[in-house]
Amino acid sequence: MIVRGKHRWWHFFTHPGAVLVAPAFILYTAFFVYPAAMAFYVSLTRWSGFSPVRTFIGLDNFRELYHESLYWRAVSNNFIFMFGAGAAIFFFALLFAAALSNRNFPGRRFFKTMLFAPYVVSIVAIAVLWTFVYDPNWGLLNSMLSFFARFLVRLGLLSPDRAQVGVLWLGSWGMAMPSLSAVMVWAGIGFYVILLMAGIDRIPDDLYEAARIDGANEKQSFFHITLPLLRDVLVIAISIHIIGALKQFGLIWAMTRGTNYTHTMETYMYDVAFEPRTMSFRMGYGTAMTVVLFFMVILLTFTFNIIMRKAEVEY
Amino acid sequence: MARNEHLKDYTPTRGLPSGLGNKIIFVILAAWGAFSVMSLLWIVVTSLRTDQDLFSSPWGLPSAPQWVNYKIAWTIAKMGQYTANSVIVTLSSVFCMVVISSMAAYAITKTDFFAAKPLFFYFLAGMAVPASLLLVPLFMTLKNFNIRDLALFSVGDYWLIHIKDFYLIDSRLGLILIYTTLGIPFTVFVLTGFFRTLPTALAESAAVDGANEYTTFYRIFLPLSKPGLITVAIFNFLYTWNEYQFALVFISNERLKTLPVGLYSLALATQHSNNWTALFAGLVILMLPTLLIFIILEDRITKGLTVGAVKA
Repeated sequence: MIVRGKHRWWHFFTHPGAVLVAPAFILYTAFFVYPAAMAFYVSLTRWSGFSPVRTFIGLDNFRELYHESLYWRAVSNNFIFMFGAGAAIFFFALLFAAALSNRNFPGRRFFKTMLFAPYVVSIVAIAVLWTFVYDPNWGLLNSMLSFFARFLVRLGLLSPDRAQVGVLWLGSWGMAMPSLSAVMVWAGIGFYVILLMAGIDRIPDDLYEAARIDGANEKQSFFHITLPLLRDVLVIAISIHIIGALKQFGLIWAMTRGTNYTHTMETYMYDVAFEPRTMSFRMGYGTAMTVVLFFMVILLTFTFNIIMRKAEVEY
Repeated sequence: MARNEHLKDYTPTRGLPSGLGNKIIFVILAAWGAFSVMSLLWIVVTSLRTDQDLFSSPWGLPSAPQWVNYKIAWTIAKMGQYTANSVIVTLSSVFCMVVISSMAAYAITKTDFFAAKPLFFYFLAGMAVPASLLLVPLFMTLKNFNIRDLALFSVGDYWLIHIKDFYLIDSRLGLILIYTTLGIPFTVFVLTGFFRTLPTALAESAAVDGANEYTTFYRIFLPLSKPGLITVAIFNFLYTWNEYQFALVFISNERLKTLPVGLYSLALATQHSNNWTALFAGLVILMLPTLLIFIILEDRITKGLTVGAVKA
């Protein structure tokens, strides 16, 4: 080792490790840890963002949140996206990953690329693209439907007066939630397919070879080797999805701006704290929402992982 | 060995065995793919049509390619300005993020700094925090750095230090600072994992040869960790280029907006101006760079994606 001579207190700061870690440490502390800690205090205040006056009001923000129906609507929307879009994502992702892991699957490479491509595209671009798809007048979906309707009319299966298609895909809460979930599935599935495929690929060859020598067919080795061993990766993937669903922002904001009761926690927070059109600028109240979100993220990932670990012992 | 000769070229079927299930999945995937490809083609084709054409038939092909849509999007709709902002902000933040984080990751894994382990968990903790928690406090913190006019130390008629109009809110510098900081936990996490795979013996033999820690880092470990640095840089590029929430909160000046925020305000403006085909052109401008990067670097991206999640 390099001899540094007698240790003085300042040697702590001149140690190469300390010097190299310093820029990251300082930036991260000043602009990440400090604001994160600060958030807990801000959530206890009333502040407009412009005035220097910041009033300490204790837990009033949280009390108000508890009684605000629009906020609960936003929370429940997050959970609807989590379960609704999540069920579809994991159903299809498992199916696709299992099929695409088969090396003779036709068009394997193309499908992988195609499913994953939305992952690299800005969520705003995806939102704008799908607003075009959902546009009631000239959108892709309605023009497809009316094309189909005209086709049915020509075949005599549909009366012409019922062939006018004008579905308002984002026009009401009941329509918008499935429509938005569909976009989430389309945009998000590639990531999970890739993750699951990597998980399948990671399973050691000898297991399959041993199974083959023991006379197992391909179907048996899929259900008794691949699926059970995929469990760890699936747990990680679902945790990632849970966190992502709680933090849903860009897509909703760019597509509906929270109209028709489609707010999520983060869009509602943005609306309340920052949106110039809303003119509410309630910074403390908005921060209270993100503090609740923070605890939700921690709590949900924790409980989910504990439940899954318990089940693993039983397995 | 001879007994298992028949297994030599055997690659096991790990996925669903071929059969009816596979055929159904193929049909679903084909429909899915057809929709994805068609919607993308539709965007590109429509960006070359006129508004009248779009309203009379949403599906048609352009009679003559309307390159003027791109000109309108680039100049009048300011997509050119937004692109420049995005390029400046993204490249600077990715560069800072990777340099700073690689230094930290080296300090944590390859030096005998006694606080290395606690520091690793200190950085790691950031990955559990939803970024939106920082929105308001960061807004307050950065506001404190606003300097309208600060002059210090006069020398005759001159000021030794004279700062004018220095802002971190509504400024590209502020955004670069935010993105660099937000990227640190993830980048440090991935790079420490990468540095751990490199042999520490290299550092020891370099020390024997008289190199100090900085030289060892710069001359030996940085070149060796190039694949890791590139992977991290790609992911941070994608994240920063596409980031929406912080750019929306911290930038309101029309001239400083990044592409996602700019496209969103263009989409809002289009509802009144009705210049839809220019919006399609703007959409192509936003999507093209990342899609091109994806097509070129697909394997690297999909492999890097699983490093954090699957191997951990």
